Amino acid sequence: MFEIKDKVAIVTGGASGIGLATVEMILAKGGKPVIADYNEESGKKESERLGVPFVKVDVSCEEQVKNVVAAVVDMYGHLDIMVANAGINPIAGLLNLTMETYQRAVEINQNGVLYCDKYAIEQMVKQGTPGAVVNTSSVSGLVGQAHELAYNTTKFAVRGMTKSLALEYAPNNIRVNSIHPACVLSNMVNEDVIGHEMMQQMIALHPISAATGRIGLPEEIAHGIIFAIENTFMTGAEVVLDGGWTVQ
Amino acid sequence: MFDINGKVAVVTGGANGIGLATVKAILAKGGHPIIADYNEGAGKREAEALGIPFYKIDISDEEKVKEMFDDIIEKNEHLDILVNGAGIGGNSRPITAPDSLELAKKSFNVNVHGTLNCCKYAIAQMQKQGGNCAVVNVASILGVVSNPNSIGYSGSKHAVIGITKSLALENAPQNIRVNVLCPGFTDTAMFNKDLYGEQIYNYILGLQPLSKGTGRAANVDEQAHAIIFMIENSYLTGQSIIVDGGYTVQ
Repeated sequence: MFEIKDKVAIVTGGASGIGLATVEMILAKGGKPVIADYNEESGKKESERLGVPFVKVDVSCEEQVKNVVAAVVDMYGHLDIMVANAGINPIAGLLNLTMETYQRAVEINQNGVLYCDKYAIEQMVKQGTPGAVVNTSSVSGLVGQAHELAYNTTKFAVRGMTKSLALEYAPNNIRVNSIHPACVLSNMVNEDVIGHEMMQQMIALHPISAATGRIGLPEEIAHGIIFAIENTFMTGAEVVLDGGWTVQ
Repeated sequence: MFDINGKVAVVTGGANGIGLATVKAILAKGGHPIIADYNEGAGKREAEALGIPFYKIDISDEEKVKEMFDDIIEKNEHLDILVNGAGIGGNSRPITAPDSLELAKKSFNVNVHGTLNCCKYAIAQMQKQGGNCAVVNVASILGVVSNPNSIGYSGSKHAVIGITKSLALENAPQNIRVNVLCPGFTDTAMFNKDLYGEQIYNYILGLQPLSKGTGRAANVDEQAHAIIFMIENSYLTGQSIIVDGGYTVQ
């Protein structure tokens, strides 16, 4: 068991949703989470509420990610956990997806995770201590979805890089796993924003929702991220939190 | 989050290895685990040491499995968790060997039919009490990938994963979640240095990438940790959690 207590963790996209729930769980376990997020307003607000550091970052900018890792190591002297969770979902199919939007998804979802993993793992290797990296992919990294071309492509990439890095850094006892959530309640995805009908359609995609009447909760996905951090013999694995979606 | 506290859990193969580690983890969380195992000596000893019930059971015997669940339900009034940890390994033969089918059938009898027998009577009760329950099956990395000479073991463990997915979909409307653990090489009575000999043991560890970092096989607590996760996570169903130090990633 990889004890989270006193471990330093960077959580990108940590200012809301799955990332914020993960920050809260790491904190509850006595860890030292750092919120890294592009959204300065909610980042600062949650950081103050929880009493944890906030760093503003655009994960698509390699230099910024490098600086965040350096700043956190300056602050605490070490880095043990990276949760590369920040991402965007531009919903568009082949003919209405501009190359600019596509590139942006690649820069954030794919390159962003790569930069986070690169500088975190570099630091972990330097420390010579065990480490845990969790990359947020999606069910869209496992199965296809029409009109989510950029999301599908980049989330498959996250799943692939997870496995490659898991094998590369197994000798260093640095574990790298991916999380694959389906639909999760958030600021962007809830009945008020998307409407009752759309929410019912979304619910119907998940077999377990027939019983629970809802989509996933950020805490349920964070619970999977915590598991992936803590389990000392799991690496390169996929934790699929989708209420049975991809089983059908 | 599915709270284990106060829940009644049957753990087959609970007298040793991953099963016993799971029993202890459930107990630590305030649950009420029951050891069900073929091994009477170890079962009685561990149950007594932990102060919990023990049932001697051959899970491949449907009638006996039914009787066991009837008795457990009568005594506990509810059943919330089933961990199908019981299974047999070995039986490695090429298909053309004279006893290959006999041995394969033995594997299927315990690993597949035994798991199904327990699922049937446990899930019947779970549905009756209104659902919100968890079933965890135990397959193997050989349920995901395979080896030569493993029609019995690998074949049966692949079946366990298929059964898990079908049962997950069938029982989702009752909020009965069904997931499966796929352990890699884990130090147990079925896999250890004494049984395999140092040379083969070390060769096998070499196949497990994370063993290069840790210098060891997985331990039973790491596997039990994953079983507990599958019981507790309220949005997880039909899934395989593979705790194999990267074996199947290669």
